[in-house]
Amino acid sequence: MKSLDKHWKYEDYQLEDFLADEFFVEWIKNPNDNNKHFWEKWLAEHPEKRKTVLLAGDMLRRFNYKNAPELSDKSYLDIFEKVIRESPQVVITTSQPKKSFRRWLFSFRQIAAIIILGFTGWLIFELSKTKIEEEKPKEFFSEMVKRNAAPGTKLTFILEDGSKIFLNAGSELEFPKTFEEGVRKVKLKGEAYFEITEDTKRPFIVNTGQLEVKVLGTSFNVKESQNGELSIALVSGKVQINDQKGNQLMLDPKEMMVFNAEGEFFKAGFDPLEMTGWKDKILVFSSDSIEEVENKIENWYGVQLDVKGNFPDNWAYSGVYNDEMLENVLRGISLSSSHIDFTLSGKKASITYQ
Amino acid sequence: MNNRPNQEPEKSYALYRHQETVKLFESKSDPEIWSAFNQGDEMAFNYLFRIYTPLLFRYGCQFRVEEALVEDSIQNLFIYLRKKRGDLSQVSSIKAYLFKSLQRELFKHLKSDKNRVAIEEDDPLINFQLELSAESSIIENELNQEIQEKLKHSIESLTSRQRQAILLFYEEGMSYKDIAEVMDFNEVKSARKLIYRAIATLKACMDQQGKK
Repeated sequence: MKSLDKHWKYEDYQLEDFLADEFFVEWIKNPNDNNKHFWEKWLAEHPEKRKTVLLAGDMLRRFNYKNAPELSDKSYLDIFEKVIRESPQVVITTSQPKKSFRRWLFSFRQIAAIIILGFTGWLIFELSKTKIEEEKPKEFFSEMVKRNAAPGTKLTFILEDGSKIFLNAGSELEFPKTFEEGVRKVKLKGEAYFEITEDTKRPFIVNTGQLEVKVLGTSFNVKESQNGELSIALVSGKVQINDQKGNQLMLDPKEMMVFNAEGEFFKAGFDPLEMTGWKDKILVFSSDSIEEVENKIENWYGVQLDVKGNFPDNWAYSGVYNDEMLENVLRGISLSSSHIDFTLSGKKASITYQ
Repeated sequence: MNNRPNQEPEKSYALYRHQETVKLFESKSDPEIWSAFNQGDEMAFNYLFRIYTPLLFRYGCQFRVEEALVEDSIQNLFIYLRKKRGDLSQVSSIKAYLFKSLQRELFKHLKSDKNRVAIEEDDPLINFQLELSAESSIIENELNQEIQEKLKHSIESLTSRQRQAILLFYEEGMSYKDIAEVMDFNEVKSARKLIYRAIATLKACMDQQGKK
């Protein structure tokens, strides 16, 4: 056959040569810019080969599996779940307590989500200093500005120093119009993603009420959950964290620290999409309970979602939505089980399990 | 050759619908995806699972074993791979590697099952049944019907190894290199020859029918 010999050109090809040619088969089966460009041009140049080429394409397209069963959704999910349960997530970190860790290992989609925080003793020191300073020259302080992202909305804005802030729905950031000299200080309620402009002379401090995070220039996500859990996920740069008990922790990129309401903390890796996807309008559910799903949807879309019927205790939902309409999200969830239905009208939605 | 399947939106796999993970990885090369998986990237695992599980299932069923055994083997394969993360060697074609590994897993089970009549890897009658789809295509060729009839008869003269190679080449979109890996050939040349021979057989059969 001619294609065994590399010196043959396509114009000399017969039907069987085309059938055996990788590049030709690729064009037919997986057309892409590269092979389309070549073959369309080549066909235009060689109209006499058109019939042979079309026949070869037609023939090879017709070879199919006679026996091509499809994996059922149920089996697909069973396999997925067993694989996840049998083989724990690889953990890159060292210092988390076993107890809280086990929970992650066995969570269904286990893209660990939480993060880190704390503050440096050095930071506390720094803080106490700032506090004193703060109290003295109050009238010299720049006017404070509050930005609120109502449920259903997200805000992105740039601070005076060039730092970029993504404020998630239902969150609030308070900051001075102009930062004072030695420190850039903001107050956060809820969740925000920070891209801090580097300024070694003015550390950037995020105060969440229970904790403070101090950085010089870095990107990270701070999230305060309703259950009192606080997480800090570091995307780039470096953060040093000391808690009140004197533990000192370093956070490296791709690590996060989670503080629970009792002040216990652990470190874990995190999935950037899950932690910071919201700033790019990506809504992520990761093995979320119906309550978590409800909270996320109400906050994300600024709607009221009524949960009806009895969702089983072990019900959990995972899914990723990129800038989708609420209806599509609800439909996605309802498609995950034949028991789930939804309704949507205006700012009111309901989801029912029966 | 990029042999990853084009996305088929009509597929209803619950996890298949959420395409963002897929978007993250579809432009990446196999070695990049594999290395992300090896480093513990859960999104990479998700991607591999979503894309390849349905394909592995279909491929495994070509050996005419119970579907449940294919499912178990896929499960064992992924569990094994996840446990080995950090230690996995480089893979140039994920699909070929997974197909080959699944095959090994299947045969392992078959061999350990003493009650089972041994199934040959190359069972000329049952493995890799090939079918010609009837769907009409772009071709405006009056010979179409005739050629199709001839082809139908011709494929009956292929061996199961030839059918397997043809299906890997045309249906799975694999390169000769991938086919050599899946079919355990030391040299790519052998895969090429197998396909050539299959095509030659088809052609001879068709020509012969033409003469009648």
